[in-house]
Amino acid sequence: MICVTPRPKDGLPWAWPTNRLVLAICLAVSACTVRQARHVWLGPAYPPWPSGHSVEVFRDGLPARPFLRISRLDVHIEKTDFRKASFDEALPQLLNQARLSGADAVIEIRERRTWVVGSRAYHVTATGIRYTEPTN
Amino acid sequence: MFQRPLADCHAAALDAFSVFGFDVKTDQPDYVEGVRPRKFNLIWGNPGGERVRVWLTPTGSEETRVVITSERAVLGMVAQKNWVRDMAHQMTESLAR
Repeated sequence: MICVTPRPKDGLPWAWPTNRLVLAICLAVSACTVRQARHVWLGPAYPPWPSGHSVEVFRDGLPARPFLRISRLDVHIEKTDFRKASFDEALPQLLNQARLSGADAVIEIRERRTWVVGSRAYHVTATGIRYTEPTN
Repeated sequence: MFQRPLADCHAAALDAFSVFGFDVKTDQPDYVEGVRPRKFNLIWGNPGGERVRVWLTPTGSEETRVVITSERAVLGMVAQKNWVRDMAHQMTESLAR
């Protein structure tokens, strides 16, 4: 014989659905993420590339072609509670900032993770470069 | 006191604001002010809201006096911190590069 014990009720018929709703709202609101991105030219400004322009990413090492460092790129992602951000999450904004600064590629990527009371911060700093010679 | 010209220290201050996730509210050659965006957290309430001010005074062609202050907002004070040491450290790191 299977016996199903009903959930205890606190006397208020609307209490259970309301509690769940409040919990769902709290979880949704607490999933707070702040994203910031910027670029700063290290010398003269370059015109931005269109949004579809491909930008190379060098996690390690430098490109073989001669290049010029033209911009510093910053992407900052901060999440509340115990959620972490990753490089993959920052990459679209990093590429976008590279395009806006007129960079052909991104090098010297530095990641930094910090914890400030109640939130985890993930910051990526990189250098945007422009090739000084056209592709062969 | 940094042994660098005003423009370099100003750029380093902006870099530091960016690294710690501040929104720059005022950007002048000798003064930069930033505020950390507010967030909502179930446990800690309302992190963010700190206001950091950086005053830059050139004391020579290659020397700049930097004064940093950090203020906590009344709302969410528990989840806020003093950023003076972090800002100074980050500016030093930026200027060393």
